[in-house]
Amino acid sequence: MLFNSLHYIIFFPIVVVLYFAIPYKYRWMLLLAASYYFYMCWKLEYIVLIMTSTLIDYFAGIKMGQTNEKKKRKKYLILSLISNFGLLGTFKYFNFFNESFRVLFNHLNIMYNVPALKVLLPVGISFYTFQTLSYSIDVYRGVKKPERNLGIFALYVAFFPQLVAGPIERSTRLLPQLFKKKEVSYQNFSLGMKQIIWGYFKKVVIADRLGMYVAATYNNQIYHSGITLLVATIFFSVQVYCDFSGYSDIAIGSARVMGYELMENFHRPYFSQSFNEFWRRWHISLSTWFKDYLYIPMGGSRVTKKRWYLNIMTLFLLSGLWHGANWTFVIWGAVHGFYMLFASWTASIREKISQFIGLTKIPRFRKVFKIIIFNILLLIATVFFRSLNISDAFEIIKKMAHLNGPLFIGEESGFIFSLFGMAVLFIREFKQELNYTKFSLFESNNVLIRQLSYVFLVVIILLIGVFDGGQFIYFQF
Amino acid sequence: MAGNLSISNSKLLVLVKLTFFLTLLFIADYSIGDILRHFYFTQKSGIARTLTYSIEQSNEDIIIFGSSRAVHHYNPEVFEKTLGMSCFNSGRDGLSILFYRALEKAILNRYAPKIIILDLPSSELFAESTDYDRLSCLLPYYKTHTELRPFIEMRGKLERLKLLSRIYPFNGLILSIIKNNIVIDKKIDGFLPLSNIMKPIESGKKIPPSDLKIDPNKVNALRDFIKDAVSRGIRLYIIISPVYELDLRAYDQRSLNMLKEITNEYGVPLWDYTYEPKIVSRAELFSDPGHLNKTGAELFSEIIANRIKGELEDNVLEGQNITKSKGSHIK
Repeated sequence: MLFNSLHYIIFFPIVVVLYFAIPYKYRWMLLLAASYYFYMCWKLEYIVLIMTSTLIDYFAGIKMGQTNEKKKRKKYLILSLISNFGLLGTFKYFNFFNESFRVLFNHLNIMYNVPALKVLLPVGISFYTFQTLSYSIDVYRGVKKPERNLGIFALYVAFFPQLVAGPIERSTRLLPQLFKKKEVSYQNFSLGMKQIIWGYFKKVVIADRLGMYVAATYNNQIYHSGITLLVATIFFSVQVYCDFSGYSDIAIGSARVMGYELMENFHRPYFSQSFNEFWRRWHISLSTWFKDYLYIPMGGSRVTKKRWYLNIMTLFLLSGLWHGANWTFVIWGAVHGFYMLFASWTASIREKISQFIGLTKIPRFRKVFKIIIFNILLLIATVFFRSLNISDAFEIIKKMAHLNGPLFIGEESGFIFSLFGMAVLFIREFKQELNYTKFSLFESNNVLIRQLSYVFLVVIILLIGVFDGGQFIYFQF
Repeated sequence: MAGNLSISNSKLLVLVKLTFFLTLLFIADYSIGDILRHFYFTQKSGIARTLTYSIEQSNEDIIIFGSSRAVHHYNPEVFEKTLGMSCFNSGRDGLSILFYRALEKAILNRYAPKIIILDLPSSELFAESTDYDRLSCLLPYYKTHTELRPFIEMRGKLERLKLLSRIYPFNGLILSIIKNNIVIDKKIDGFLPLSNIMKPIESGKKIPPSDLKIDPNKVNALRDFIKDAVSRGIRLYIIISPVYELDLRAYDQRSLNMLKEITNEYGVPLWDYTYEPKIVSRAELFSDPGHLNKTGAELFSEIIANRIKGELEDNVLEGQNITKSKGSHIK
């Protein structure tokens, strides 16, 4: 079930009303049933995968909890790792690596004929496998006690607001909340609904509208000029942000209405001044996952320089691969990794240059300058994220370097709607970034103005939102 | 403070605020929707005006149906001059037989034209989800044209529920409604010539997508389209217009074969001009690989008009005089 479908708009209030209407002890059952139904709306059979993952991790957790022997605990952790990565590898990466090997062996004139698997990528598999893995690792480390209630654990894995596109919640945060009795709270309801409305605005007014332009240009890049492809890349940056953060907003808002607090997943990432900062603001639940369960165990930054370079590149290559089974995503990750290393290598020289030209004396200007440079560099990486293949990506970057040719507008009204949506988003986020609270219609003390502002937002969604926009981009990951 | 409210007060506050919000939203939706409806139907130019004219006012002898390849390829003036009959091009970019059938039904509810030209690409009968999405152009007519409702409801099970909103039928149309109420275009014949000339391109090896499926709804719509026209004695010509380069899907011949089978079944002519010798491979006659430009459209319209003229003259010799009979109007 898509968040941006009428199906969800009917489903969610029913779940909320039932949730608060039934006795507390039955609520987890309702939420679990609702979550499984939510997932089965895509493909009935794939619920088996979630259940399998749930049962294996539940069992592994219980077994790890029964012994203090590290060796035995490790055995069950490995079981959890193999089963989750096995699912991910089979459904998400098998065909990718199989095809890559076929191409490689063909070049080497070696016969390679392993048939492709005819399977569809189960929606959200990267999210729920990572969520359950975090539980197993936490239990192994002794950070979390094993969960004995299978129903509650199953709900932790399948909790519908964040099941298919995160935020990837840690067991230490979400599991205890599932035991707490929730009461109707006006504050939660109000905050949740507001976040849901903004999520819809980002998704259907901005992301899906921009997506039309991006698809028209990127899918036919040979017909488009450098300036068009630059605009399309900027649009795609905003599209992917609004698509994913819009989803997170609806997820966090939906959970909030029912009294659950999910972690913030995006914190105005395009206001970052460096890639280091960007990864603290973008898909926070994934970057902290990688940090806690991969980067730090590899030694983090407390290792030799060479080892640190290796750690960073491994981290970003895997992050790229997590985003999609395609070499374009691997290169996207590699470019981000390279940026991180380059920033480290040039930190002192950049500081010296800033002092030399006097940038350090005008910190505000320096900040804006750094944000602009960061976003230009980010755009280059973004090309790989969206391109159909690597050769297209290089062709697009080459064209973008020569800003010549006409600008493709496509459908005029669509282009104007896109700019309007982006302007509203920019003003909102700019004000939030500066903590500027004056003239804030949406946080006005006057209840009528506040309510009318959100009515205006819903009217804009109805007027210019895209209702046939399809799925959220991050579902494919 | 809201945070310190008791549970029952909190419930009450949620109810009161939610009711207040929904009331405001209902008022906004109702009033803005009605304003949009009014101005949608007073447009003086643009494709929505053409569609409204097709559905509610058209009375020409010849009506042309089809997608972008109809709207850009058939010049009604050429047909009027050659055949001495009035002609209207009701084609619309990006649509499918589902839409043409809906439009035909709305038109035939009022009157029966003498001739219908239906332009179809050879890949028409393959399923494509966007065909259903694009039926959204009929949403403004849902309220007043009951004959169109089954087609609009094909968009999804919950479409009727969405249509409870008065703004929703005009989703995405606000700018064009404003513009087309200001800009006046007196010419209404539906023809939109393309002015540019495409650069010649080299064709490589073409492989159709492997997941193409025939859409039974489209097959049924085509059958109904033909049956309705034939039963009213309308001359129906189904035409595949020229291309510079075939759409990838057209390399899979199943749709074309089915088109041939259905037209044969009803005895309706299917004229395949995909590789018309006077046009094929001449980039100067095309705007892009799938569409003729203005020069190409003039030439193609002449070819079709003359062929129809020849057919009609043959029929006159055989005793049927369509040019002198009047289109029957249903009152």
